[in-house]
Amino acid sequence: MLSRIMFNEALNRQHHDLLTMGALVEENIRKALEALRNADQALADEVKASDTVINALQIKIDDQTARLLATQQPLARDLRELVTSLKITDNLERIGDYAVHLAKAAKRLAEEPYPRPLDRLERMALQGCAMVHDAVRAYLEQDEALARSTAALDDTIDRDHKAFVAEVLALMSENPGRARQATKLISTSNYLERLGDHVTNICEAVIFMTSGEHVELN
Amino acid sequence: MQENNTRQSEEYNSATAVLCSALNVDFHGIRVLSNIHIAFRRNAITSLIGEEGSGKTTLLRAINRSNEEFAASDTSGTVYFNGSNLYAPATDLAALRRKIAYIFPEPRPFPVSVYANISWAARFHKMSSDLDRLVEESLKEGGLWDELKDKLRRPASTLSPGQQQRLCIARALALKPEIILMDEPASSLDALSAGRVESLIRQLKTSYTVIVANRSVQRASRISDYCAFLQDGSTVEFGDTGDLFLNPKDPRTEQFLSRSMH
Repeated sequence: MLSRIMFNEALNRQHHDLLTMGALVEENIRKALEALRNADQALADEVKASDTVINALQIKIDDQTARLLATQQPLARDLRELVTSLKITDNLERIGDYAVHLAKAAKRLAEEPYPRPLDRLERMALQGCAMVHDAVRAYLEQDEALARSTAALDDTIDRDHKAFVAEVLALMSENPGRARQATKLISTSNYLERLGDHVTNICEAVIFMTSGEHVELN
Repeated sequence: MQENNTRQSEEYNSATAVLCSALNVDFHGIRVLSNIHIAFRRNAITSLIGEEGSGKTTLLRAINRSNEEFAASDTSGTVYFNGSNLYAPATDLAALRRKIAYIFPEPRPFPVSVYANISWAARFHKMSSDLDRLVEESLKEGGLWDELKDKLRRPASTLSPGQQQRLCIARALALKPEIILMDEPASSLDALSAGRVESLIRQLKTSYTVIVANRSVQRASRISDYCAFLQDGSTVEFGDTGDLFLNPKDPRTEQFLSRSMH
């Protein structure tokens, strides 16, 4: 039926835009991490500029979703898919903001380098990046199993976060002069920990889409 | 008046198929359509929505001048089509109604075969000498050829209501109209048949301009590019369907849509 074909075409366009938004967010996390590793202020500025594009894309996708809901009256799985799309863009936009925070931290750390390697922060960011990729894929492929396994990886981010905060606090107690730097580092680690939580929210939304079930995976 | 004329000339461009301007219709001295001003876009589907008695059918009939079938009707204002005011005295009504087709809410096939339903209309209007080809093309355009190609001699009355309605549309298409007016074409059909008619209407816009009166606002939102909301014979709001359904400008439109849960 033609109306179904047209609705499917509209959904395909939504998918394409969501894929683009996810890819931009992943790229921004990687760039922010690169800025952190290399104290690259210019790259940090690029992350901020890209975030504007991500935010505009959220508005575009959400507007298209609202129009589809208003004019096509989708039901059942179609309705759940569009509701899930709204949750995903919201969480992706927040994750994009955390990439910006990471980039800002990169700029500050360039001014006052941290005396130890930032392996844990890097690992958290890379894990978060991979999770974003798989969570968006789980949505596009309607893969509940992938959504669940992706959400489970949040535990590794949480573990790294706890260990990193403990390390920074220990360093601060040895050297109180580093208190401001320590606060910024803990704050950055918090953002990455929350990034993982937001990806988990996306995974929960995907499970709602595929099964109609509300789950709490955080 | 000057402002009205300027508006007319601005709006009546190549993108406009029909322009209603300062259109009023009275029945028995009672105004049922008041100062209608709508530019219907070419190769688009425009829905008229509104409660019963809001003037949807009267407006459709004003476009093909069929309100005049009722002795007590009186129309003022203009309807521009192909550069002419259809209400000019010298207008050829038969030619007008070939160019501006009308589909009724209940299917009205002629009491003859499927084939004859299309060939009669075509012969009356001297459309083509190759009637077999015209019937086939029209049924294909109406989405009926595969279903009815082996049943052309069957009486149209034996078809399902949905098929009858699509046959009426195919019959109208045989006359090569430019505008198709549809008065709640799916309202008497079951959901599946109505869905098929909706699909057909959406396909038609590539070649025709379609103006549909819709009792169902959901149907209007699914099929149309533009919507005109009528209330008590006046246009309350007109615009892009997505915009109107998502973010209506007039509180009366908002109220109507939120009450229309069917």
